[in-house]
Amino acid sequence: MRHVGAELDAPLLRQLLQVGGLVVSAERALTLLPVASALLAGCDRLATLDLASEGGCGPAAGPGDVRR
Amino acid sequence: MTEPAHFHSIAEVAARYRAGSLSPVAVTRQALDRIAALDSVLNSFITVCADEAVAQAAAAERELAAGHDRGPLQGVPVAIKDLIDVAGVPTTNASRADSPRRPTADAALVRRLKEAGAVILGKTNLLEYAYGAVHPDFGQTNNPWDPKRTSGGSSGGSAAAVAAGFCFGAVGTDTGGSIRIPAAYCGAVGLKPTYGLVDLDGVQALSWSLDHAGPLARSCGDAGLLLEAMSGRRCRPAPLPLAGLRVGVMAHPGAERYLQPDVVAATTEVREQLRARGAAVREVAVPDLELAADALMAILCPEASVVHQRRIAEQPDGFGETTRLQIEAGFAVPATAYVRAQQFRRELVARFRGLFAEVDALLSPAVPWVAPAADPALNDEAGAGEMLYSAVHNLVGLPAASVPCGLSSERLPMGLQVVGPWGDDERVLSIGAAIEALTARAYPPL
Repeated sequence: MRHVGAELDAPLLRQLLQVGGLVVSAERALTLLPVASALLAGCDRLATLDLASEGGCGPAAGPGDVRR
Repeated sequence: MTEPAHFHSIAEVAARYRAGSLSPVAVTRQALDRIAALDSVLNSFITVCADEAVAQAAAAERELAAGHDRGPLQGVPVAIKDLIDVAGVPTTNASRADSPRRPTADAALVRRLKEAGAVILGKTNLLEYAYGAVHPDFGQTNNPWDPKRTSGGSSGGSAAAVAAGFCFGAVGTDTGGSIRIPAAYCGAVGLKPTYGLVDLDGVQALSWSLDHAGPLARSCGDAGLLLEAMSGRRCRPAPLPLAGLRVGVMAHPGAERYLQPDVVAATTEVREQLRARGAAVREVAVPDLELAADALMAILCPEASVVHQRRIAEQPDGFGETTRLQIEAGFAVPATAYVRAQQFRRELVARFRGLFAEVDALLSPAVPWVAPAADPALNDEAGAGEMLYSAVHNLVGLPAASVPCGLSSERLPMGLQVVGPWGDDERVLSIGAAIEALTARAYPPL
């Protein structure tokens, strides 16, 4: 698997943000690059997990859950 | 009683109201005077509701005189983090974006506190929208133990106000540690309740699947009284007998990178004291715990970006630069990463469920260090270190409290995190109360 965090540059970040729903200038993308790189590096680390469960939508499924 | 009235417990104040040796109006005026005299140093309040608070205290006084007893919070001054709505009082979120709002209704938890007779003193300072950074127009909340240091975040105003004796309890919110971190830095008790126990209606969201609201107080007993009022579920913690208690000390991979020696020593001291009193203490581990902070950020950041989508489009300059960067960066998180983090979260819930078949409570430091000069950025190495012990419990929704466990060599507070099974909030605070009894009570040098 190729990891986005490792290959991220300002033009690619701009595209990712646009796909996510945020349009920014090239200059702003450059400013955002360190913060976004750190965030996406964390996402890449999560990709190494071998997870057995098929879903998950929060802790609500825990036993003793007391949600109203 | 040797300490001044502003450091009394809620139970002590309540008893003195009923004995006639203190009155709600006098105590409220004393709290307002103390805020006026000292909060220029701490910056813990954004809004002080002096007239309203005195009127609420007078009403409590009249009710008590007439025999209408609402319980221990009646006439007791408390403070509310300024992202929680109080009718008629501006909600700033410590931001200039979409701020201030002027709510016409109380948040559900505020309504419950008012029904219990609590006096709302005002709204406390926080990191902007609870998102890890100070807005320069609102400034840092300074630490009552050393005003050159932060009180922590994001509920730093609530923690500082409680520790400084400005109020008898306060409400905070916690998405990755925002109650427990400032509680540890300020020497207060802070409880992140079981996920969903406290109604978040009227509370500004940061990340809806991780957000919790809970109490900050000067003792576990007081935190229980506040939680009972906020949640409607009985919570009267008392020191739990330690003999036979099965305690797991959480091993966190990589913790040695961050841990200060004083924090290690304080945690070890408590562990040994528990053992000496008959508790069965052993080290426990949860696989893949080192990825909890990554999972938290993969959920928190895109949820926060969705929460703030309209504000970031319409008023980007209303945010402080750090908050704005974090909101913008969240739009880049792939959907697959968000889903994977949620999957991991489900897996962690199962792993903690298994762990609680073997232990009654988990212990760890609340934060690996004492209060720094300023809050670390959420998404850097120091930010990950600050949330090392707290973040995972937002993912799994377990009740987790930070309880003071002594002072460092620099005379700064340290916090011990106590975690219990889902729904056992009262027991978590009862274990905390037992730990409180092992450590000397201390007050900041204000």
